[in-house]
Amino acid sequence: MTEDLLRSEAIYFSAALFGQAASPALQDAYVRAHREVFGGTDPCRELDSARIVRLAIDVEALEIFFRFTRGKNILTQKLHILLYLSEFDSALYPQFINERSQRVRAWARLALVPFRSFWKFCLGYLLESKHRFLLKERP
Amino acid sequence: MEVYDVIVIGSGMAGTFAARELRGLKVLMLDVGREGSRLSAGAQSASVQEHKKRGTAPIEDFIGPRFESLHNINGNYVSPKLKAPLMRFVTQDWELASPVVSTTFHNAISLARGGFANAWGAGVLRFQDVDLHGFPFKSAALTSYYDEITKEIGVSGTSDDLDRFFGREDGLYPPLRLTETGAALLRRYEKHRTHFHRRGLWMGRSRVAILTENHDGRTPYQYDGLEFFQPYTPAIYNPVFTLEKLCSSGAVTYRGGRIAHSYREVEELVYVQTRNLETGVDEEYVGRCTILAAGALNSARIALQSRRDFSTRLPLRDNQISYFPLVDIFGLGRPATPRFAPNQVVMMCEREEFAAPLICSIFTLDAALWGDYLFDFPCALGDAKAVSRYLVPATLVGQVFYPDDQAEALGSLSLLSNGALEVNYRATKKGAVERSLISALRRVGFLSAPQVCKFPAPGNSYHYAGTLPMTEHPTSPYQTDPQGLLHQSRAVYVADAASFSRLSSKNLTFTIMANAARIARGVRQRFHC
Repeated sequence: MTEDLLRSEAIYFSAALFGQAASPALQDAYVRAHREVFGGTDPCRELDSARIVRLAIDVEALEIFFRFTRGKNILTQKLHILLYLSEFDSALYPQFINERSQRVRAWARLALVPFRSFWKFCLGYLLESKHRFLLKERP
Repeated sequence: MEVYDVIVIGSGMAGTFAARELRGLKVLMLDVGREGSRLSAGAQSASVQEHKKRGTAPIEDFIGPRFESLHNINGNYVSPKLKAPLMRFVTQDWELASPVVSTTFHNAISLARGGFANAWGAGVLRFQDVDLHGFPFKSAALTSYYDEITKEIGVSGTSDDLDRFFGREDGLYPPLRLTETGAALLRRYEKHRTHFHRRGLWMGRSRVAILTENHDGRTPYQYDGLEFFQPYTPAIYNPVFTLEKLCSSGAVTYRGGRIAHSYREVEELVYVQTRNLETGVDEEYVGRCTILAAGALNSARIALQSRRDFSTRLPLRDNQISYFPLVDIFGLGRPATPRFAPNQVVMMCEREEFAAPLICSIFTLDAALWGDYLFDFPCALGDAKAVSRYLVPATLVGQVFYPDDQAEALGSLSLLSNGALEVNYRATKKGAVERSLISALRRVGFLSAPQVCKFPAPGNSYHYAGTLPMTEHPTSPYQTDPQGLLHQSRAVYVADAASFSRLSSKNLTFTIMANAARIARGVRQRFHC
């Protein structure tokens, strides 16, 4: 897996999930983390992530579809790496942490979760059926 | 060759409290003794949540120069408390020095100075007679040791409904502050006591070796959650604190970097063979007595290796565990607490199918990294962010510990000719306890579902015991008498959880300390002092 592809993944995935492009430091960490987490194996052989980035596919939809139908899969692992590495980015803090009481907003937003997630799952199914991003099934 | 009065093998809770009881004798402690380091001063100045907010966390400390915190993405599951970069030393390289082969038991071994106590939950739970069922002594034999150790380590907690399970305890520091969600749970329990008691459920504050006031030169807990990322937090008791006092006062001679592999008894002396891990050279130490305190697995390995016994299967006990989330439906949208203690409340469950009550410890979820749990929520990642914002502050996690307290242990082990232990463990069917807890808690607005319970493989609690059990009348060379003396041995004692006859649901650590001190006092009497 080339470094350029990993950097483009980091930029695209970060923008898709957090609404901000990955900083150069985050890109560096993402590249190095891949080497540590996957060791000698090449995740490229399992997932056509270059095409996901090029076609600007809804990565959130694809991920939930893979997670629910394949369990541990390479796309979930890549986003997991990104989430860990972004955790201490203060710009993302408000996206994850609520600092004041917001009961009405919480109920309204959480009520949407099952519907939105179901929609994303269906969208992921359609995207995978059409494009076949997963190259190799895990045993 | 220098002859010691007593050689203690291992520096965990058992080894340390045995050595402490032997002050005045010539004591040698043999240990691998891997050491950890603490966060930089800057990193210690804020809680984990505050670091996230300010962006001040040194990534190499929290995620690791080799991305250690990402271990669970593609590796065997490791507890969040053991995978942080500065906590990896607790289980570092154990497979090389103390290999274990198993497909049914996901164990780890600690070769750290202080052992697994570097990452313990700090629960201080006295065993009662019902918890000591099968032991050759009653709880009264441990009372004075529990009292003395409480003074040494400093315990916070309070007298409440759990007194009937833990006994009344004097000298407790005030309990840890609860989060709003933890306080809501306790408040609603108190309001609906009858509902819970009818179901055999009792709730109260955690009794923990975490200081809320100054004690013995140690400072109170700062509610920063940093114990997930660094060892030796002064407020949380660690046997290393006592060991350092013993070493600096000359009460104990400490030899680190050595792994004991066997012993032989010749006339009145015990020769302990060790491997120097730095030089690879075998070394021998001589004592009049030896105390095995290397942990249930390694003490069993040493006993088997000393007899070159590759056929005997020894029993092995473990607390199997389960986790389930509890969402306070009335707390959705509650703000997150920037400073908190992970330990919240404890539930005891009396159930017909278990001889002794089961313990369910209830924690906050916030202490872990987002990456440790957000993918466990069955929703898309965009929704997981909403879950993190609005649901997590209202969420607690229950952890049930199952006993292994039947006459026949659920696990067994034997020594292979290459020095590895081969372990088998029979997982039991679980779920009924969690269903009944979930059902009872629903009444007070804490929701969960049996489908989201997690049942980690046996071995994940790191509560291993019973490999060299105590019995009133030992018949095998791998059993000990009530004083911890190995059968057919003149001077080899077992002071760690290997000597437990059964394993109750309650966290065993406090009883390991008390029992080790009890056994060491017996050893001391051999020297007429």
